[in-house]
Amino acid sequence: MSAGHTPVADHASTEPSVAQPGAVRVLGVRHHSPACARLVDAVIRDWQPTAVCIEGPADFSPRIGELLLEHTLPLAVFSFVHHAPGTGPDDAGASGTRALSWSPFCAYSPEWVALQAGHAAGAALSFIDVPMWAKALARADRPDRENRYADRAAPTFDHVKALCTRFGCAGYDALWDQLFEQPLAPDALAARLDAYFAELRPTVEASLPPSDAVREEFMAAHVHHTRQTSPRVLVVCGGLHKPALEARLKALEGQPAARPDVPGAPDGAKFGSYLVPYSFARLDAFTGYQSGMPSPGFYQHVWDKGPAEAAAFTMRTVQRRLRGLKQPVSTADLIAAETMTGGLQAMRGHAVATRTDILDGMASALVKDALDVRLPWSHRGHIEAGTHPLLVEVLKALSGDARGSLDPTTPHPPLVQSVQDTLERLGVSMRPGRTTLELDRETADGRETSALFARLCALDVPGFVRADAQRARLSGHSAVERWHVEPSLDFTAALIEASAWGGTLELAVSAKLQSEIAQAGGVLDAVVHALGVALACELHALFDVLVHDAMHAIEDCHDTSAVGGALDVVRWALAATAPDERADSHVDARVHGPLAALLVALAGHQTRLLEAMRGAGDKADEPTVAAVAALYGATRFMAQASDAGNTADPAVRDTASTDTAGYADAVRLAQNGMERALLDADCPPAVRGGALGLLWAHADTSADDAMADLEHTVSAATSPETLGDFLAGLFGVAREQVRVDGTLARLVDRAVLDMTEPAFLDALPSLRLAFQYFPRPERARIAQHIASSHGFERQAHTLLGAVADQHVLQDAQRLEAAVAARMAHYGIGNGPSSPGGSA
Amino acid sequence: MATKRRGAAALQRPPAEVRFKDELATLKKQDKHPAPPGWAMSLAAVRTFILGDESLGISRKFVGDAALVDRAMVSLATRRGLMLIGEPGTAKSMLSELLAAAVCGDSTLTIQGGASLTEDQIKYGWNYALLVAEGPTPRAMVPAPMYQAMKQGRIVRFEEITRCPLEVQDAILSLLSDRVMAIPELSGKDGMLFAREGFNVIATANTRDRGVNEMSAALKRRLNFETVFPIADPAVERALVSREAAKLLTSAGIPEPLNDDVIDVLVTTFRELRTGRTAEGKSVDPLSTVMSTAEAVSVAHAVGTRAWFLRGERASVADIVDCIAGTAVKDNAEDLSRIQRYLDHNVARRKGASWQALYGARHRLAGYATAKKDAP
Repeated sequence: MSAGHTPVADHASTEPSVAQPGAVRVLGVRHHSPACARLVDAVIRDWQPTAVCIEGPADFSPRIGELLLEHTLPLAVFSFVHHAPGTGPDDAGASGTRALSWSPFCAYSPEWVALQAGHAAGAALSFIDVPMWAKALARADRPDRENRYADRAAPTFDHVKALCTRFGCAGYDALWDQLFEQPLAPDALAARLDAYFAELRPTVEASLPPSDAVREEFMAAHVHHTRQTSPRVLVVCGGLHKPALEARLKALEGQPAARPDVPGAPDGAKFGSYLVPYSFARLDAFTGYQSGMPSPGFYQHVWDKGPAEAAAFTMRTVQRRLRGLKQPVSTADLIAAETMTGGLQAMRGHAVATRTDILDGMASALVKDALDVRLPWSHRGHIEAGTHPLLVEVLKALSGDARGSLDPTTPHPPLVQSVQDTLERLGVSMRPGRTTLELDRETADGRETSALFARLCALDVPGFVRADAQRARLSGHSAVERWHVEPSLDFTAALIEASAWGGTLELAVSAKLQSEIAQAGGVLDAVVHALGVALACELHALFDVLVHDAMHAIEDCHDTSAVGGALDVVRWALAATAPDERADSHVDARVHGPLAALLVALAGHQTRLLEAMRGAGDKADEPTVAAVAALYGATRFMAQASDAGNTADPAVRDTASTDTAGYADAVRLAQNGMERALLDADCPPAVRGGALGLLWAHADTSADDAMADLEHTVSAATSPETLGDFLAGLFGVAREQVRVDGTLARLVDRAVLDMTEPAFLDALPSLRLAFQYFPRPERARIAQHIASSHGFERQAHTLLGAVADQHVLQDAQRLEAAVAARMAHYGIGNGPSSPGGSA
Repeated sequence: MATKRRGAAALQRPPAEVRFKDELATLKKQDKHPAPPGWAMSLAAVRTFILGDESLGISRKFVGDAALVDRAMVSLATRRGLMLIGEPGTAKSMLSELLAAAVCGDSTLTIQGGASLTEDQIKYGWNYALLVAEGPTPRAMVPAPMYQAMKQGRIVRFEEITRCPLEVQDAILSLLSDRVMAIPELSGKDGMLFAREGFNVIATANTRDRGVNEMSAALKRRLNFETVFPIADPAVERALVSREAAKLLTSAGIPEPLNDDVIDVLVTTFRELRTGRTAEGKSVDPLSTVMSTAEAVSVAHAVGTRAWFLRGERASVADIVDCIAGTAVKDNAEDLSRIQRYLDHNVARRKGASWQALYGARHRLAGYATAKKDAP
């Protein structure tokens, strides 16, 4: 990864060397604290340090100048380490060593103020913490992504809890605001911070991760080196590190100083650090991931206008937001909220209202209901489900919607530039607003654009949506794709973060797909899903690997749903890449052969799985029906392709001839298997019904012949208990071939009338499922048949009108039956009513 | 008001201002902060009274959220009515009693909400003999809690307000907003009662009853709502149950408190069946019966009492099964099978002698199940 150059770095080395080591002052801060940020600013102005050392990724130090460009905050230093497949020390674990880290900055971050004020004072700036890969290695249990400034452990410390109890605070955030965010002179604040952290550190020593010792040693070595050449060194670091850092610095006095080596990433790993735009939503502890602080919008205002203005600002913001949402917020309520806030502030002895005072005041005055869950600010973590909607909106108002953007001259990873160049070359406008593009895959440009969009989608880069994905699946091959392009504010950030996967789009998508497969344990559906994505992205090298993997994964897959899903994906892919004399067909032909072989293998496997299913009493469910339907879809596709191969002109036949032979055999095998399944009384009825549907659809018999045959087959294959399940399979697979006319309607009707009450209740879900496969007009026609056979010509629509949940209906029926039974027991009424009707 | 009666010690449960007379006196003497108009002490002192301060010898009486107490006090101090709402057994009434005792030294001006409550039980009624003899005079009037509180500048506790008919609830609307009660039967200055400083209302309602959905918007607007939640911290709840159960057992003449493992199993079981989540993070079916801390205390009391008076020994973990079953069959037979499932699926797999003892006693549930089935 390339490193940018900075005008500022290593300022220290140009200073004249001083005989005595310089003075060091360590400022222990809380990340994202406006009060600490103010303190840093005051100390730098007052003390004029010649070097400022900041807790931040040391690997970024040479490029620290990038942070001094004209950015809009918030932003973050994004770091990653990643073993690209094939380059890591052990390929199997390649995806396991990928890790991401963010070091976010906003205007009131003490670290940010240290950078800006230090630069203004002419001090040499450096980051002194270990790079994220060293942190990640120091602690094996760390998740694969982290926020350097998260401050996660603080609320759990016993000492902090005890302080909360002593000061009557609801939690760590409230405690911090009460102790440190109140107006205080810089000296008083510094003394208070020192006392707090000095008292806290020994109580938590045992619970700190071992990596902290490594980090503190590294930071101390760094500062020790800096003080050899710099007369006044200011260190800005997390307050908890301060006592340890000072102790280490004392121990180092008089020792020789060498610049510590920045630990390199493990062999073969790719790594890098870049600036990315950040947002308040990601910073907010209520919504963001591992965030260090709640309500960034509120603290931004505290920073901008001072803590005294914050209450009035919050009231205004909340009022605007709630009224904008058409929520009634009366002037009286607002006065009540302000009075409450003022009262709480006075009672808690705050010079200015803290965030908790304001939120407590609003909760008391504005919420007029019982709460289902605790107030979100009374504990740490995300907003719980069930939080009062008004409070959710209040917190959103305090969160703010600021988004950062980077100075245009900020160096980006090569991926960003190459994507932007490609978009420009292909004439894709990235102006704000939504545009719809029609891409003709038969032109080189259209094809390239389509693949580019697909790759961006695969990398979760927002703003590119295939508009006709569903239709394309239904209609098969189509040369024209429609895409919605709507440039997102997160576009650049997402691309920079995607570059953690690889230096080019092709590498990045491949790495991400392979990592996903590895995470899923290499199971068939994951491989086939990746195969579909790889095709859309035109990743041919990866495609060959995936087809190979999929072939191997088939035998290990015993889940008919997974195989069914795979069949569908492969069939759609084949339809979309069907060789065509107009298309750029040499590429399609290359992928077509392996796909066809995969389809044949999948169809064979699915046939065996379905045939082997056991459970004569199993209820029909949608996954089972869908699994048979997928096999039917595949066999129909193969049969059609095979027919076309036999009849079409030789040019087409040549490219497809190897496929068709395999196809015809595969179809025959599937039919044989389904025939056995149909006759097997132990096979689940839904599968047998589906098997009948498949055979029927392939048999090419006329609808009338089929219907005549139906009554016989269905009666032979089913009992009243399994009729619904059987029909669900049949209709789910061969809905187009089945015409429910008088014969079938009568058949079903008679079967239902023969059922006992419990049997009917039992069969009801399957029957509903079975008829669900018909569109509404057809169901209306069936209802008409049933109604007329019972002599209710006009009431057919009422049979379809029952929109209640089937469980409600079943419960009602059971209740009715129970009442009837009780009545019969006491000799009143007519006993149980006859079943039917509301199905 | 029984403030100075000599027999206070013999009362079953004297009001808070009597029970904590010494603490209140200490706080008043030490109080350096200004008190709101009409209040007996400052907010800081009220807070200390409720949340405790060891250095002053003040016991902690409410173990819930401190911020909730802050908000409740400030609501009262800013002349907003206070509405405490929550599951049954979350110490709403106790908090309201403590607040009233500290703020005005009198927690007895209480209106108990219910379907039969009428307006004259809230404002004032008449002594009919006098009314007939003298006509409507101040002497013939029988003041109800609201009248007394307005006249003396005190706090009225309106318990279970949502159980009253809507029109009766709304009787307090104008009292809360205008702070004046019109008495049309009386003439002259007796016809209007203007509330003195210190008057306010603490209402309570529980979410299991009708909730607050049927409350009129006008009344809601005049009250600040505070939801009281079950105790969040398991250790705090355990300590509370242990302490309260010990008190009850002592007063019942049982010399030995419950074992720690009995309390531990009991409180854990209650918490898990209340929240539907076990300590291991698995989900269980929560009971529809209220599994409050107060209920846990009463079960702990029952466990100790049974063992002592029936068998003359300390209670064991197995006794919990009987007592929980008794709690659970109160209103829902399904709850029994939920407990059964909880024992079979969650407790059975736990290590530790006390959990195994609880699991070992599962057969005792069977008796309750048949008893329930036989009930009409």
